[in-house]
Amino acid sequence: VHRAQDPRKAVAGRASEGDPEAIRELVMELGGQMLRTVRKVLGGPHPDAEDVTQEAVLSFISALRGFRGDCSVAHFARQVALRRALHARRHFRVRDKVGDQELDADHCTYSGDVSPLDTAISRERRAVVFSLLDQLPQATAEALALHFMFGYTVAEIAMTLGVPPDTVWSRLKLGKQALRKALAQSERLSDLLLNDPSRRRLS
Amino acid sequence: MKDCGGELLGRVRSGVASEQDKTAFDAHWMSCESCRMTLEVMDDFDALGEAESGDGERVARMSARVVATLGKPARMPVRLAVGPWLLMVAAVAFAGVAIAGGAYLLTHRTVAQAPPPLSAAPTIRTPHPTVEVQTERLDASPDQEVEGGNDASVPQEPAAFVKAQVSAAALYRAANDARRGGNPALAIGSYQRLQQQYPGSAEARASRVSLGGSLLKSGSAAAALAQFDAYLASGGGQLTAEALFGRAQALRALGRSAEEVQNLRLLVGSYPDSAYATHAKRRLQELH
Repeated sequence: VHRAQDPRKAVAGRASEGDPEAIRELVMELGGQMLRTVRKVLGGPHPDAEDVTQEAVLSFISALRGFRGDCSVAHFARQVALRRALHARRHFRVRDKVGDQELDADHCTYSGDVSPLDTAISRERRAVVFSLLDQLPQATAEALALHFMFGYTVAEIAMTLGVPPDTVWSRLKLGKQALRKALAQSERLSDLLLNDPSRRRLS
Repeated sequence: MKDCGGELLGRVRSGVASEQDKTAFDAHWMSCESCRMTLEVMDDFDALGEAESGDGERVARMSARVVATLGKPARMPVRLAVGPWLLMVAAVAFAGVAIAGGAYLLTHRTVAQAPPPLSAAPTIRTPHPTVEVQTERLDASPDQEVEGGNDASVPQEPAAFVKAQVSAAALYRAANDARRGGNPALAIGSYQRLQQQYPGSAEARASRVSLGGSLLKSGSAAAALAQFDAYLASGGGQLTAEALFGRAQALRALGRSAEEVQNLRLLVGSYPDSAYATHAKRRLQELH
């Protein structure tokens, strides 16, 4: 949704001026989405998720004045939350000196008919993606996260990040190459996939 | 295939794909390892980070904190409410002074013109009737003060915002974001709030240089100088060169050339290889 048609455009404008009611309305509308974005990037329920989201919300409201309207207010909020969460991931990894498995201890519980093996494979693949996001350049990591975690198309990513689609193509291509390589190098994933005849290793 | 970027994949996953889309995707998916990988990874993340019970309360808490940190108080209603209140207090106080003063004069004139009555009731004994009258009036509750007033006419305290529990780091980041986002007023307010709420924090200390720069740009050179001085007085640090440069700019804006020269020399001597030294040398040549 372009900002010109964005129903939140007016309230975002008032919020950028410090109108308490507008800020409250905007945060109540978009705070849940931002919290879920942070949670997803942090790997599920996380003790710091609320603090990170709080910082993201502060940044989002503070940055509204410079918001050019290249994307919708909701996309902008998600971008800010994503950026803050990616930054937090790297910070936590340094601060806590933990490996991928500790940081990304699986918080996702599948219900229903998903087999434990499928759950383990998904968990391992997510760990590989998270590890890659922590290492890739910020711009590539953002494009990759928007694509894989939130299902954004190239056009949506370009609009959200304010860059040309060709740039997004390029970033995604680099990111996917790196991901393919990382998945291929994961021994744990390899072991799991050996036990699943319906799948074969991606390489 | 160009569509590996996800347009077709996006339509299929979101359930809005046409039959033609689905056919095209099936054909493509079978032959494209990149899209298979993408689809599997997307599926892996689908169930992660969903809403949890209590999220509504979490968002409400965040909203309150953000409003407390960045929201401006609603000024107009407060001013309209306080204005009549102050006027009424002033009027009552004035009336009290007038009555007391009149009674005081009347008493003295009575003393001078006639003998004291046998059972004279003391009227006003205080030599400072004004003070006494004001004290009594101010001690009275607003409801007693405004006869016939209703709730709407009684001035209310400004709405009490939820006290901010935002960390120093979060405040510092918010202030920096506001500064970079071209909102100097908000940045200045946030830096000041940081220094008030967390005076001993590393962020508050570092914020003195940022706040000094923002104040300088907004034309408040004296206030900016105070910030730079405070940073340097605290022992300096990684931002000492910036603080010295900012201090020189503030002194220049204030027309204190001698101190500016002294400061610039200190900057060049202490940080000869810094980017600021070049500017400092040029400015020193201008001044000589």
